Amino acid sequence: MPEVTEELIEIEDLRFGWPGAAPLLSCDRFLLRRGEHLYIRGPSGSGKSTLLNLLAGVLTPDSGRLSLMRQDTGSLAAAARDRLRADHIGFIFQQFNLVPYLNLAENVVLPCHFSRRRATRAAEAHGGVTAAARLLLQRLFVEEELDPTAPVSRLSVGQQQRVAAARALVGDPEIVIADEPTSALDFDARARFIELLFEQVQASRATLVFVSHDPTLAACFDRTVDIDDFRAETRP
Amino acid sequence: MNVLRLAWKSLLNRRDTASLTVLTIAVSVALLLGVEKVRSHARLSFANTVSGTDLIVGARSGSVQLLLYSVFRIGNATSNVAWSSYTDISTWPGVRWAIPISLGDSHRGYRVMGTSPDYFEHFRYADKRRLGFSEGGPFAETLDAVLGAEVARKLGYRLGDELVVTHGIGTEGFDDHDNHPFKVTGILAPTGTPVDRTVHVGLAGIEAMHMNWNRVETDRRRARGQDLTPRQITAFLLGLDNRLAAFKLQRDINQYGAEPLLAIFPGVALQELWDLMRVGEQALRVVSILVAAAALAGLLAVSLAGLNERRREMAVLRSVGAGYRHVMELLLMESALLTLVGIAMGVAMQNLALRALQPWIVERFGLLLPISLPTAGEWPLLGGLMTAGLLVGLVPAWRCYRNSLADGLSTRL
Repeated sequence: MPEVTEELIEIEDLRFGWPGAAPLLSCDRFLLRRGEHLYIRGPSGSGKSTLLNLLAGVLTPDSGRLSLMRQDTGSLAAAARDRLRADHIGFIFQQFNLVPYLNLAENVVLPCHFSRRRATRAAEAHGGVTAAARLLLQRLFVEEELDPTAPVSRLSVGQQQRVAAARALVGDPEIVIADEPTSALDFDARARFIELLFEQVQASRATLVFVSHDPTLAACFDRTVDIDDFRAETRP
Repeated sequence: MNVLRLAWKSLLNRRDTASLTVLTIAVSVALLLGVEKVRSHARLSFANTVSGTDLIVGARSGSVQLLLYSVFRIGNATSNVAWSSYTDISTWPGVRWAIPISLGDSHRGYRVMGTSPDYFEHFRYADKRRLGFSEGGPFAETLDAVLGAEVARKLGYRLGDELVVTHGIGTEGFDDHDNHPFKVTGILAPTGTPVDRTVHVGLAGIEAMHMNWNRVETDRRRARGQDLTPRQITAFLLGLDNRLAAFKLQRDINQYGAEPLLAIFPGVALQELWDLMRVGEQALRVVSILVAAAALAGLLAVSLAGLNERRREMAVLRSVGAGYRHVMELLLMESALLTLVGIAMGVAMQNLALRALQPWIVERFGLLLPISLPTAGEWPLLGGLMTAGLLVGLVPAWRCYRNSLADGLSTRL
């Protein structure tokens, strides 16, 4: 399959450091290909969120190159990088993912307001963004009856994470980045969440980047890297 | 859902602080509009007191003083004009009409003005409007009186009622007559000018009253051909054939040989008088603008205070694809919405308050403030406030942009 080899993220000789501090990240070569399930192992405070901000095009490298969808983020204006992120990346964070004043469905369709590409894809596949959102919510809440118009404030953390997953997947972005999405969940909820996430990531044939410090999850992924491989001071 | 709807929902989510902010803006808008309305209508009703009169002539004093006593019935003339001067000048070429005015008496607190029936014919107020009668007509007999609308309403007079006029000015005169010499023959329609607060009688009536004649006595003396022509009047109004001649006529009157006279243009004197009150007018305006500024400062404080709590919300929006532009738009939109709703509520509040207070304001100050949507003069004020609200919104928008730069997609705040 040719598309499996397609490079979604490509890093060459990247260097990054916060102003006035020692270089934090350093990476000579890194490739993320379509369909990969990548596990990045790393404790918090290890430069992980800096790396994610670089991958998302929020930050740009000090030197070297980071290409997202074959576009060099360093040569793009901030607004163009925002659009690139909106079009191609879905995010799931550790917690507090949801906008408190929007209901479930509104939270899920949110990326479609900032990305015409994802809105079009959702509409083409499911007849409308709201329909797409409802379908994703149904799939992620198979055992539960869920009112898509309910406020998000009454959801448990596990439910919130599943809504966040639906939002990250809506409109089929190429890349889903999950930043410790399970660390606020108990064991059962964690297993259930990982299972559902994999199901849906596979269904939409997205590429998953999963960051966690929980080594037990690494077994589920076909590729594992260590955050230390990206760190300037610890890199071999 | 666009950014506007997002802003709206976000505000609804914080409806307690949002509604307080809206309320302070609304109060300031109501105050601003109220002051503006009073100001413009006070000025209008002021300018409306006299029109169509080309010159006002009185004994030599100050132009404002002459205007005050001849038109506003405030204060007194320091000296009078000889009847002969009046009759002479009224025959000058270019003079179309001349109306004598004799002041100095009162009836239960209202000024009594002696004049000729021509007054009802030629006097104009507001936009060249004639005096209209709601009942009856001009005085015909010596001891007939025509009441201004407020005099009739407040004192409860009807046609045919009799009333006492006291010499001098005050509620109770020192030589009240037992016999009620004057009879009401006409009641004027309301004008919103000092005419409403005036008792009009003929010049001969003033003379008769000063001689303490009653109706019977007056009729008897007149029958014997006794002359009731006054020797002096307080002032007179002139209407000219050609307004361009007014300057020459004014100069001629001011250089009148027989006695020192002063002729003034009513419009110019009104403007001088209004300028005297401008300080108060400006002070009112400054206070209401300061109140609006305080309301906007409140808006700024609330927006900035909310920003820190909302850093996570902004990071989430950024992570789902919102650019810096969207985040700034959101903040700007919120300020705009708060200001807009505040303005709308303020307009409504001002209208409701006016609806409740209008009768009292008319009663107390003789000012009829119309209940209306913002007028052409008020829109710029509201527009200015809206712009100020947007400008205020730029501050949190900028701060939020700085925050977003620093926070990136980090949601652990």
